[in-house]
Amino acid sequence: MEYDLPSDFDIIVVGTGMVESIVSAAASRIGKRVLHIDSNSYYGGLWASFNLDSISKIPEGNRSQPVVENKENEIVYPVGNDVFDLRIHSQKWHIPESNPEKDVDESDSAVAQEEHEWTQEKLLKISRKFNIDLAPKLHFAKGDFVELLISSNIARYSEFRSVSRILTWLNGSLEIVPCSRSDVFSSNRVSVIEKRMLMKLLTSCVDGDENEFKGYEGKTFQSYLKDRKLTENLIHYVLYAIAMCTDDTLCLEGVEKTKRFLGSLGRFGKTPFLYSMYGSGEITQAFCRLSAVFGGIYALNQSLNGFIYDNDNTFKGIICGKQRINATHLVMSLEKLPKEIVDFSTTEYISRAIFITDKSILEDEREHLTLLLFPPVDRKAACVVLELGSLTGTCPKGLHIVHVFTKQTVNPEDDLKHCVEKLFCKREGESNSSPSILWSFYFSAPNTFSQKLECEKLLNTYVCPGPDLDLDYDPAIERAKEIFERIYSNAEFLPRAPDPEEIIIEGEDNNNIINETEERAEVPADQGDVSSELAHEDDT
Amino acid sequence: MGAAIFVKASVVTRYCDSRQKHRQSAASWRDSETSFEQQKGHDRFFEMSNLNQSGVKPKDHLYKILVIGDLGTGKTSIIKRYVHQFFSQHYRATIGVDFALKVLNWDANTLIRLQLWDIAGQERYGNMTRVYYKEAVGAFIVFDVTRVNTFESVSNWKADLDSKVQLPDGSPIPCVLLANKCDQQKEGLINSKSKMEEYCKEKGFSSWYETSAKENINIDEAARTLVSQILLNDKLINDSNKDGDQFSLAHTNDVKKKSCNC
Repeated sequence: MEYDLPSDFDIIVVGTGMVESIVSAAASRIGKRVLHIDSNSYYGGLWASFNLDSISKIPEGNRSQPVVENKENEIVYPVGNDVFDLRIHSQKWHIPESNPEKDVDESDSAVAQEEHEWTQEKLLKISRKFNIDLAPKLHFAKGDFVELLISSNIARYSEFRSVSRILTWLNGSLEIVPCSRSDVFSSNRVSVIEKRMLMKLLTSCVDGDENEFKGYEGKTFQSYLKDRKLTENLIHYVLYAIAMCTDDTLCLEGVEKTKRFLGSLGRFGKTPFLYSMYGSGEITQAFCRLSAVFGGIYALNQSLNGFIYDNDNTFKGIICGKQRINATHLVMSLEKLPKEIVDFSTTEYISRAIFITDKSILEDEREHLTLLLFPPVDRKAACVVLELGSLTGTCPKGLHIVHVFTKQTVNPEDDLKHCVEKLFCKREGESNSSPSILWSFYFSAPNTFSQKLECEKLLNTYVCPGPDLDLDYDPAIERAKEIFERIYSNAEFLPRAPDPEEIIIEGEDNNNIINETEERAEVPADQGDVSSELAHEDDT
Repeated sequence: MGAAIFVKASVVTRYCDSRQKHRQSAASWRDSETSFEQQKGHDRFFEMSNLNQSGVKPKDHLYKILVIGDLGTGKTSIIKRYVHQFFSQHYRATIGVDFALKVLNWDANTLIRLQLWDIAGQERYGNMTRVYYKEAVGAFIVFDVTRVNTFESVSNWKADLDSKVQLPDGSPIPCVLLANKCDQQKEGLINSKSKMEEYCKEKGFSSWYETSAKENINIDEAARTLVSQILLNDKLINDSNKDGDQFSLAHTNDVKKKSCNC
């Protein structure tokens, strides 16, 4: 299956991360000739999902670094830098490699049956049942991402599960955050008076006029909540879980965040959040599929040997293998930027941990998809904990995948330790009611969201940031849209793609259209009109 | 010349009404989480609603079938011939189309809708996304009898297919091998029927056919064979139905609610 690639494009997109994939889909959608390539053999870059076997083999980045070549009238920059790579802190097993043949002892067999004994061998055997995200994301049910999926009709490529509960850590234990109206009223953790206070507060956050927050311009959201005479527990729920704020968050920002949360309630499921089935890595591929369907050409596993610029530093093309491919614009992920060009001043990192565990952090009759918003304590930043069960298609039955992440201050292990210790068994082999960690992976990645879009030194070249700390894809969509609009300033960004059923393929003789119509007429009569349904999508 | 494509606005083949009714009757917005958008889920619902109305239970199946193979082996031509009953040597890569839909009146009680997924010609370097493979229940692998190298790729495509999609019980999805362009001069193994049989058995193909999209040879037959294979797995496929917390956003029909959500 070796082919030469075509050699002339409107736009070349290098890297298949989220921002690149959205730009690729948007360009392809308006008829631009797109080449979308990746040096990795998989889709998604730093936004990808891996099975258990392959996540142990992800490269930290060990690319060769050839030097800049100056040719006649042209400069060839080498591809890639090591500034934006993942930094793997540790990846460890906490269970035996395999189960040594057990002595069949009558007294032991009862114990053995009770415990489901996982071994490395057992887990690796079902490695493909795991989809482990490098950058797990949730989606606000009424957020920009969900709206974009629906308006562009990319929604048809993916399925979602709703987050079934939101937890917080309060007074030394896990508590369910009452977030919907019925949650608030059915909660036995909140007194009747508190219920009224909470409802009143949430209503005024959503509907409140400007006067409500007058005088709080420079003050914190916490001080606003205190002035509203909320109890300590309620302040905790609103501040750390619903608004996902810190003690220092300003009032108006806190109100905006509360609105973002409440505005997404009630559309799907019990909480405002959705998670992509089979992992967040699926999402980048949905955009890639749309790009391909509209003519984008895909090639993974390519050896990228240089970016070609003329003497005015205008982009001309790339060298892929031995082939030269020309294009007008270049869009690339940050980690592909030539080392010589990298201008990286921020030093913000994200500390991440991923665990495979043997049971839920808070067991219930049914399997949950849990978001735990672990509040800031003792100068440790708030942590986001996402626990996924087998129903998300990311792990086998009986196990959970737990993602924990926060803004980096020291290193992933130290930044997350206080949270991890409270949720899981402290020592290997220790058995109490907490889940045990079977496998752990600590790593950090730069938070590149503040990086500039345009490369000042290189013309017609745009860079895409990697994953950020936002729960959803809002910043990624915003970036992709900005890049798209700078390149194609008058074009529509991802207009709705027609459903396959809406497209007629007309042959050389017109009889085919008649056949087509007849065939459709046979289909039972109780069909709705999808286009009108979608057109009314956003009436609220 | 060639194929023109345009968007038809008025007739759209999707079963929405039954689902809409279901949702509208829901007592509160909370129930909107149970949307029967997923094809299998909604088929099941569709069956139930019909059962209630008439007492008969016509079976309605929707199957996703992949059409895989090297560049220029005739994948798109086969789909066009099968679904749209025409052949053109001059078609361009199909733009904007995920799959073609073929409706089969299988028997008096069974309606089958086949989604035939082309590899969007563009994902031609073997780098199809998971979106492409996801939930496929059958496949055609196509090679060109006039070019031996396209036959050599067949085992790679098959291995790739089996590694990327399985039935819920982990077994490979049924796959039929198509030796296309059989109206032309043949090269290689295809000239020996017994060796082809052996090859298919070894590689795990359900069956193989010599086909010609141009002359309309064996395409309906091959499809019928694949569909019968898929029907054998029907129970397995439908058993993997999902609970209400899982849904697609496509054709989301919002239940209107203006009051405070909290």
